[in-house]
Amino acid sequence: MRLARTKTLICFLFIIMCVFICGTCYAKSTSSIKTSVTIKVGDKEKTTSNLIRYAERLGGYFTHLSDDKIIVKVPSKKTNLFVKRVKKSGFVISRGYETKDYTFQINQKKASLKAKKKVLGQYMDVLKNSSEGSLLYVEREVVSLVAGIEQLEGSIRYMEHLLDFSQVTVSFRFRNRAIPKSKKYSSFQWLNTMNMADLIRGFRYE
Amino acid sequence: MNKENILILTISFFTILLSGCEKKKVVIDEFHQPEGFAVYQSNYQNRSPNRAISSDGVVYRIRKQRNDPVAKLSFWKEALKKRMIDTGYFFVRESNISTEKQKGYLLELTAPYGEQDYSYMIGIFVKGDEIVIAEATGEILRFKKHRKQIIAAIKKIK
Repeated sequence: MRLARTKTLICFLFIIMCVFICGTCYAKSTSSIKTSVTIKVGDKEKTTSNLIRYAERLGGYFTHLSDDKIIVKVPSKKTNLFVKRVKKSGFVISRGYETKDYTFQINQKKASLKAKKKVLGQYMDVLKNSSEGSLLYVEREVVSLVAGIEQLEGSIRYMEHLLDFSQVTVSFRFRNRAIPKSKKYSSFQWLNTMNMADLIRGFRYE
Repeated sequence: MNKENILILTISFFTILLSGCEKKKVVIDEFHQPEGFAVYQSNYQNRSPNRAISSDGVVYRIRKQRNDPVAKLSFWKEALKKRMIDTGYFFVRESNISTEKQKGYLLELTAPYGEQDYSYMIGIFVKGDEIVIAEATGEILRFKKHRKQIIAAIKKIK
């Protein structure tokens, strides 16, 4: 009897855990993710094609390809997997992570869409019983509303796409090519002597 | 005193004065270059070798600076990291490093240099009124090949 009760309790806890995990996995994120990684690799072309292939295997695709960088879109939930692969591909020299919350914009657009659809429904009812004189006016309003609804739907689809797919930029060299400021003042004398360019120059000219 | 004597005295005075202005001798107790590196002989006779270079252009140097203002390693760790990042270097990693006699600090950075990206490694040891500085730099992938040997050489600093 006691054993049966324990088993029931364990099953119950297991179900609760499963529900929680599923809820976490399928909860729709309202933030778009942008990640950038700068890596140094021996064979740039091979790395590029491997990463694109991996992104496609994860359900993503590439949007930009040049000598210096690739930009890929990968399903948001698989961003970490892709970034891990990028890190394994070479020597990481810098990383960046950026998120943008779209909760407010999406909710606002959805509410506006709902309202427009409601008004459109009302106009459609009016259209059925309208006289010749008012027909033109109602028709014009319906056309305008349909255009507005399509625009809103497009905008929502775009935002949802931004949420579904995160953008990962993989650069093969620093994008900002500004050389460190060698003459930047420090209150400590010896720190002013710390400069990579001077070290290289010392070997070059002596 | 005739003019000739005055001239001789003046020349002697300035000779003595200028001899005191000689650059402080760089004395590196014992220089160990990283494995596979060639020691760069100094053009100055009074200087002991303190620099080495690999065949693919990764360079290594040890030098000393005055510990001024006198501060402990923990102080210089923070000051060095802040200064390097402020000037535009990218932080890669930091760690503590120990030689036989003392504890030091190792900072690894990267930065663009010309068309390439370079690694820049700095090791510091505080020895009383002096700071021993080990520096190494080279193109990132070439540097990576010598990293272990460079760290091993830094650990041999006395």
